[in-house]
Amino acid sequence: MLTRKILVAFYLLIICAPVAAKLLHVREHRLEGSFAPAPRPPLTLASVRNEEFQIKTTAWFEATLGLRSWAMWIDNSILYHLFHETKWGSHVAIGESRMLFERDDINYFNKSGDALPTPMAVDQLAGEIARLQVRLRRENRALVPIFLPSKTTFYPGNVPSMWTRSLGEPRPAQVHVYQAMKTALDRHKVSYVDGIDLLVSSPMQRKVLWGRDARHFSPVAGCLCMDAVMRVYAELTGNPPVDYPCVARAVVAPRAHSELDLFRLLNAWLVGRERMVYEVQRTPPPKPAAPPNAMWISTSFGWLLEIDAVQSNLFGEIHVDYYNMSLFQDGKEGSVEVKPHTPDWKRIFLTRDLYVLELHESYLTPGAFFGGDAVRAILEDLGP
Amino acid sequence: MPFSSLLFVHAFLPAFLVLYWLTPRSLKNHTAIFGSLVFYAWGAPRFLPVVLGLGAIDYILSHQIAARSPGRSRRTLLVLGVALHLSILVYFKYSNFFVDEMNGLLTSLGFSTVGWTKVVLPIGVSFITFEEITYLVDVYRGDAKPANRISHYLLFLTLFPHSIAGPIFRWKDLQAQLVDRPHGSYLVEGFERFSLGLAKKVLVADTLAIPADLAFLATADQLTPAVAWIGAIAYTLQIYFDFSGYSDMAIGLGKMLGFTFKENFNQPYVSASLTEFWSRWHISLSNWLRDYLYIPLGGNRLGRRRAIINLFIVFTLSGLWHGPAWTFVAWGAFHGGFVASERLLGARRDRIPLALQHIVTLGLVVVGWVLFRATSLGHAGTMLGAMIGISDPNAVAPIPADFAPRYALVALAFGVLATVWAIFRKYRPASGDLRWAFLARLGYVALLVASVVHLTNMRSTPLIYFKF
Repeated sequence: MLTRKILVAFYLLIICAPVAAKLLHVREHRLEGSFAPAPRPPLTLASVRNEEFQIKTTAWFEATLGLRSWAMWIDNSILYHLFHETKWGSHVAIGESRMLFERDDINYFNKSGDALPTPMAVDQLAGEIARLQVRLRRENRALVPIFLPSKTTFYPGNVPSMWTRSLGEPRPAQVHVYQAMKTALDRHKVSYVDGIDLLVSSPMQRKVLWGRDARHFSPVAGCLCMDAVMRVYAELTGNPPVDYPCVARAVVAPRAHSELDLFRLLNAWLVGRERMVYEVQRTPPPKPAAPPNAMWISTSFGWLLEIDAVQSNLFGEIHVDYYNMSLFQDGKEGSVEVKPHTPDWKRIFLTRDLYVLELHESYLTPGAFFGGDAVRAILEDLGP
Repeated sequence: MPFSSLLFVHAFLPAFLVLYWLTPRSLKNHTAIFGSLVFYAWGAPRFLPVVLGLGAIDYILSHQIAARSPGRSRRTLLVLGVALHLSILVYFKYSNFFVDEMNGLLTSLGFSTVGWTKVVLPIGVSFITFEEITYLVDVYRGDAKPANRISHYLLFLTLFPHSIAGPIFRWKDLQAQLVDRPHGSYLVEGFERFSLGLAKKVLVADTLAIPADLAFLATADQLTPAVAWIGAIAYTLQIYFDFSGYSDMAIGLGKMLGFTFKENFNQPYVSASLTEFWSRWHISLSNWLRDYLYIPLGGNRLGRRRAIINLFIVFTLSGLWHGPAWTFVAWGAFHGGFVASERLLGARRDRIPLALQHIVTLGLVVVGWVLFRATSLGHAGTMLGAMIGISDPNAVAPIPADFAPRYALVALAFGVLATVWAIFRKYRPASGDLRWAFLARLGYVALLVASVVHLTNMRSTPLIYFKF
C-alpha cells in the first residue's frame, strides 16, 4: 500500500512539477535561438467560440511552462550524444568532425531539378548586372558583384552522408548556380569577385577563414573578400588601388562570441566548442579626403564585409540593403524599410560610388535571390 | 486538447484529478461531467450545445421507447432517433464531400456549381453519434435499460477519456459503472497505462511520423522504392502506436476515475489473417459494426452469398466512416474484399504455411494503410507503384537525415522487432515473471518522464483519429 502511495506521489510530482516550478519562479536554463512571442490572451466569449482563445492559451502555456528550458536541454543532449543529431527541423546540422552547418546551406547543397535556376533566368540576371555595371561606370562609379560560398562548399568533406542526397559529382547546385552564373557573367563581360575560389583556394588555414561552430565565415575571410572588391573597384573606376591588408590574429572566444552562433543553438550539454577565433589585426589609415560612399546589397554575409569596410576607415557613408528589405547605415542598429522609387530611396540608392552585390550561392536559387530586384529598380531610375 | 499535449498533461489532468478526488463520492459524476464539458468545449465549443441537446433528446426518446410495448410506435421512435443522429453525422462529416463531388460533376457537364459554405467537422462527432445510436438501439432491443438520470447519460456521452476518439462504448457496458465504481483503487494502474500510451504516442508514433509524412509528401523525383517502402512501413507502425497509444491513455484515464474500459487493441499485427486483424484492431468499432450493421443486415443467417455481400458492405461503410474520401472507401472495400475472400477460402486457408499467412496478412495491411494515408487514389497508385519499382528512374531520395533521422530509424527498428517478437510470443506465450514487477513499475514512471521531456522539446502531432 505504501509503495502504491509513493508511486502515485511520483506521478503527481511529474505532472505538477512544471506548473509548480513556474509559480515558484524556479530558475530556467539559458536558451539560445529565436522564439515567437506568445502573450496570454484575454478571455472573451467570442474568442472561445472561434477557438482563438484556446489556440493562443495553448501557445502561451507551452511557451511559459516551468522547467521548459531544462527539458529542452535534456532532450537535445540525449539526441546529440545518443544519435549525434539535433532535433528534427532544427536549423543546425552536425557534420563530420563536429563541423556545424546551417540548414540553408545543407538545403542548397542538396538542391536539384526545379529547385535550381534555369539557364535563361541566370542569363537574364547576368545581363541586368552587366547593364548596371556599364551604366555606373560611365559616371566613374562601380557595381562589384561578389560570389560568396556556402559552408558546404568550403567544407564539402565535412557534409556527412546523412545530410547528402545522392546527386553525383559535380553536384547540380554547383553546376547550375555557381558555375552557370560565373559563365553568364563572363559572357556579359562583367567584372566580379569570385569569393568562392578566393576563399576555397586560399593558402590560409581553413579554421582561420571559417570556424567550426560559425554560421558565417570569419572576419579574416571578410577582409580578403573586401581586398578583392577594392581591386575590382579600382579597375572599374580607374582610381588608384588602395592597400587593404588582412593580417589574422587569434583571440580567445567567450561563449557569446558571434562565431559560436551555431554551437549555442545546439542548447545541449557536454558539447565541445572552439576556444580560439580569428580576427583581423588592423592599423586603420587616416580617412581619405573624398572617401567613396558604398552600399552592400546582401544577406548577413555582407555584414562581415561591411564591418570590415567600416573598420578600414576608407569609406564615407556605408549602407547595407539587407535582403532588399531593410536598410542599415554605418553598422548601426536600427533600419528603415526599403521602398524602391521613393525620394528617400533615390537619394541613397542612386548616388553610391560603390555597390557590392552579394551573390551568395545558397541564395541564388529560385525564390531566394533578392539582388535582382534591387538591380532592376536602380537601373529603372538611373535610366539608360 | 489532445492527451499528448503539455496543456493536458501539466494543467488539465492534475487540476481535474485534484478536484475529482476532493469531491464527495456522491458528486463525483457531476465533477466528471463538468471536467468533460470543459474538455470538450476546449476543442469544439460550437458543437457542445448540439451534443447536450442530442443527449436530452436521446434521454427522452429512450424512456418513451422503454415505456411502450413492442410495436410500430416503438419502432418509429427508434427510427426517428437513429435518423436524427445519422443526419447530424452526414451533415457535419459528409456534406462538404457530397457538394464537392456534385460540383465536380456539374462542372464536367458544363453546368454552374452550387454555392456552399464549408461545414467544420466537430471533433469526436463520429464516435459520439455511434454511441448515441447504440444507446437507443440497446434500449429498443431490451438489452439495456434507459438511463435513470440524464446526468448519467451525459457523462456516458461526454466522459473526456473517450469522447473525442473512442473507444466506442456501449451504454450497457458502462451503465453500472456510472452508478457505482471503485474510486481510487486503480490509480497506479491508471497512471501506468496513461504513461505507456503517452510514450507510444510521443516517443514512437510522433517519431515515425517523420519518415511517414515525408514519404507521402515526396514528389515524383524523390519517390524511390526505398522511400516508398520505408514510408509505408513507418505509417503502418505510426498509426498503430498513435491510436493504440491514445486508447491506452483513455483506458488509463478511465482507471484514474474508477472506470474499467474494454480494450480497443490486441496486438493487431500478430494476425495471420485479415479476419483476425479486425478482431484485434479498433475492437470497439469492429464490434459496433458487427452488432449494429452486419447482424441487422442479415449477418451469416441468410446464406453464404449474402454474408459475403454483407461483409463487403460493412467494410466499405467502415471506410466511409473514417472520412469523406474515396481513399477511405477504397481502403474499406479492399479489406472487405479480402475478408470476404478469406471467408470463401474457409478451411483451405489452413493449408498455407503459417509464416506465409503472417507475411501475406502484414503485406495486405501495409497496402491498405497506403490507401488510407494517400491524399487521393492517384497518389495511392503512385506510392504503391514505387513500392514495386514503378517510379521515376532518375528519382533521388530526400536528404536522409530529414527523411529518416537516426532516432526515427531506431523507432522503426523497434516497431518492426516488437511486431516480430509479438508474433513469436503469440505461439510461445511467456509466463509473467513477478521478480521484475517492481522494476516495470519504475519503468512506467521513467516512460512518463521521458515522454514529457521529449514532448516539451518536440511538440506532439495531433492524433490521427482526431480527424475522424
